[in-house]
Amino acid sequence: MAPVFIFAEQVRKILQSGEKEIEIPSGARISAAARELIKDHRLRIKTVPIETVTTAEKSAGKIEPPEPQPEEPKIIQDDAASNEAKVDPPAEAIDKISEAAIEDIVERVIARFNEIRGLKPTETTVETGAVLKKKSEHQADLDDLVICRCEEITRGEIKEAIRNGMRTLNGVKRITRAGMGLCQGQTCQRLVAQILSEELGISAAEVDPTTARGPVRPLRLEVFANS
Amino acid sequence: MPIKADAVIIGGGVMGCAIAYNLAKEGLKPVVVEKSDIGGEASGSNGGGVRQSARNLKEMPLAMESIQIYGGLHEELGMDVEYVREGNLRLCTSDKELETMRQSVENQKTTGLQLEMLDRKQVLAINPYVGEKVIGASFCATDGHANPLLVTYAFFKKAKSLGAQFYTHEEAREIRLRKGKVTAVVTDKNTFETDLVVDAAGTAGRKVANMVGLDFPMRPLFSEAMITEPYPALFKQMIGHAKGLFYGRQTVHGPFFWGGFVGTEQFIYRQGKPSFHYIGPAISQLVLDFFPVLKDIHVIRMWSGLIAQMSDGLPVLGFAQEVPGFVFATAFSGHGFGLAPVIGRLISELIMDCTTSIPISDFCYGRFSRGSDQECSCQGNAACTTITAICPMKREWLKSI
Repeated sequence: MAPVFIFAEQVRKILQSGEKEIEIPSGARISAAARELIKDHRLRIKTVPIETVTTAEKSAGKIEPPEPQPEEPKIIQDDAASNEAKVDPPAEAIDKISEAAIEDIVERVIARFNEIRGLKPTETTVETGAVLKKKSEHQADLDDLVICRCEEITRGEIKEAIRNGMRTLNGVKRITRAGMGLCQGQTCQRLVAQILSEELGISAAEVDPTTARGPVRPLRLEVFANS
Repeated sequence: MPIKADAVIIGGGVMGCAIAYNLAKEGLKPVVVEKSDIGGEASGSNGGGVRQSARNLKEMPLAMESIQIYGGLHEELGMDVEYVREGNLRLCTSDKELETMRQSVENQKTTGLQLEMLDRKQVLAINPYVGEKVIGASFCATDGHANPLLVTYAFFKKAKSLGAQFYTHEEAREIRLRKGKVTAVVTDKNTFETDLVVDAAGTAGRKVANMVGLDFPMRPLFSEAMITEPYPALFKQMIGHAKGLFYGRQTVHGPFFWGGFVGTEQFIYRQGKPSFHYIGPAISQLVLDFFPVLKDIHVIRMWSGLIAQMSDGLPVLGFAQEVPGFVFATAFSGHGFGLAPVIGRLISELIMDCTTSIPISDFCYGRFSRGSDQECSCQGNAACTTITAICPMKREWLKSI
């Protein structure tokens, strides 16, 4: 018997149909997201023999129909590209499932996911280096992000000040001017505090707030002089 | 595990960073201990004036040298510090003020400083925005201003790149002595083994001196300042008042900085806390009188700072004869920022060579031993006697590298 995977999408379908019960084939594995959904919506789990899985689930195309199994679990080759010919190891052998088989399953899940989303496989099955590169590009984008809008101070400038030894909002403010503008940090103070907590590895609550300074809002000199 | 340091500088303000930079440039590995962030106290809240005029005549040689260093500071430190050398106007509103100012200008000219008295017409030619009250001013063309936050940061960054170590958010708690000589500085987190301690702690300078049993007549003086929203560039001069009631400038970014005194700062403490609600309006009133064009500009922030005010308004500099290895560079009485580059250089010279290129004996610690009105009788820094125990060691160490 093939092990059956229950994915979040199937659970969602059942939820949409208004049922309060989910049929799960014996020996099936439930994905973490699906398990969470079941838990959240308090679905009753009904374990059924593998043959009686509802047609709705079958039509979702998630569950491999049971296939005639050979006696021994077939160890799936890494380089086997076609999914069609693949046979999953039987449920009894699930504990002994080889790493290669798990990888293969994951690969097929990703391929299926891409199919649903209409993505080309190459877009996500990139090399690790490429992923890292993408990540660093993303990071660079973040560093260009303007945090203090009044003084146009970017995230990168704030991070540099922190790496140079500033440990407080006041310190960062003095060096970078973030929070010195017209709004006096009412917009960016929390963001700077977040960057500080990220960079220093402390919680945002541990970041000392900037010293409160009057006036509460910009005040005309003439008005202030006669106050 | 104690950390070994060639020198420990207590205080990471502009003075501490400038001294650290100069010592690091000489090849030492100084450690700076700062209880908050770099430039967290007076160095982060002062007006940024870089001036010679209206200084105590004893400070004049230092100030004149400092102006020279400021001219090339951005190149030396590799960072723009927004230094502007466009002069300093000290505005007078009455004949009496004018007369006092004229006398003061004559005195200052004896030190070789180039400055002049201007009548109202000449003042308007330099700054057309002054109000009708102004009838004259003194003008020193070589004065100017800089951004104190950036100057401190520039010294800090350069010192760090040259090997100085900075320990921020660490407070010096104890200075250990052995046979009367400095051996270590203990903070709340570390112990630094050293035979040289520089007291550059500003308002806390007296507390640091107390750690080795020394004391001098200094007290923190409350001062208030404000900044406005950015405004198109109007004038580049540093502005002062004949009686020192207010001072200010337009920063390179555009906002106006105004600071001032109302004369009651020493007495405003009520139950340990200053009550200063009238100082801001008082400064604003003066600004309005002298620059009516600014009446619609918005004040966006006010802050206060503490000035390390000495009884005679002069800093304490140089070695303490009583405690070998203890060096003063503190209590600049509210006009230290303009001197920072030269103080950094002189203290470094003192530590490396036991002598300074500009005499600093007027600022010695011993000057109060016979009362403030008498001439100092101590040998001061002119002849450094006690530090012979330290200097040869430093020189040996320098030769070995």
